[in-house]
Amino acid sequence: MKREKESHGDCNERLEKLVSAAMHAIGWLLPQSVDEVRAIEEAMEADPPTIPQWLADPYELLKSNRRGEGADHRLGDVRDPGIEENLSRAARDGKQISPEVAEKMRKDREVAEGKASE
Amino acid sequence: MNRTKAESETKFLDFDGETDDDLLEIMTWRETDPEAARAAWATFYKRHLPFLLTACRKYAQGLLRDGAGEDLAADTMLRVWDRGAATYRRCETTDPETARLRVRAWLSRIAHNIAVNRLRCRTLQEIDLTDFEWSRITEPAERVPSEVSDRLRAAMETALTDRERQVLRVVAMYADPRQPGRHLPEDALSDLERGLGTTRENIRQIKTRALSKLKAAVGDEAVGPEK
Repeated sequence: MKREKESHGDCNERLEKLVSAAMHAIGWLLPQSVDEVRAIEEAMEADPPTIPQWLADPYELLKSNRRGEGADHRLGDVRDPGIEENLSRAARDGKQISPEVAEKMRKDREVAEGKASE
Repeated sequence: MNRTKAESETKFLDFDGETDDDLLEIMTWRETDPEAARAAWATFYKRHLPFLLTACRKYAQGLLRDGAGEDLAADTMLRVWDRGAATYRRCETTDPETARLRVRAWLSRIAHNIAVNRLRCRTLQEIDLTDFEWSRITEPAERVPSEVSDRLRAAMETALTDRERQVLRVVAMYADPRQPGRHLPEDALSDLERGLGTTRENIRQIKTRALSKLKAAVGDEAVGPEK
């Protein structure tokens, strides 16, 4: 029994290592080793980046005194289609979403996600 | 270094021929020779921005809001100017290619640390890398058979829901599978609950479900214990 549990743990560990390596290969994780840097450089050669105007001149950037203020690093919205529908319906009806309704929708989503994982 | 401090005090500062290690050293002269330090940083910036921008855009795509990758690249370069150069450990290798890759890994490690802190609504104060992080830079990457890698990538891009993908990506940012004691710390889980607008139990369920899908996609044999 114990052996079985250990083997399951090993499999999960191996899977997580594979997933991490695949994420680095896709570029979903920032490179942290020379090999991972090489992978990004290959992607860069295939598709050279365009430098936006505001990043083109390093001296201007330094002068701008910007230190991350205003930079938006929040996660992008990933919403359940059902919730989107409810929000759209409410918007069409011209209603405000109350905190209670928003909380209920959040709980509904969690229940739905919980069921999906069973 | 090919240039002395006095030599750099000329009207036209051209540091294009300098190594990254030397540029980073010149940047530490900011108090005594700000013009040379700024010019060294500008050279370093132009040399590495395209790489950093590519890495940060790829990382932010599908995870953060539009433009966040560019913000992250800019913040990383500014952090190098503010504090980073003094924390850089000079390269021991004499191979210029390895040295170049090592500097880029260091840069993107700083970007990673900034990104993790931002996700946790914290400002990164110190950017010293730990001994583990330095050792990880030159560690060979996990070797994955190409057919397993292809199946896994396809499954990650197509079989997972957006939310499963997001949870898996954020959890992977916190937990390096090669780091000992890699379980998510309590405070990181609390941050994730807030950031993802859900409970930790639900985060665990989503993660488990996502990993099951990926395991099914690559097959049991691929994820068996390493031999």
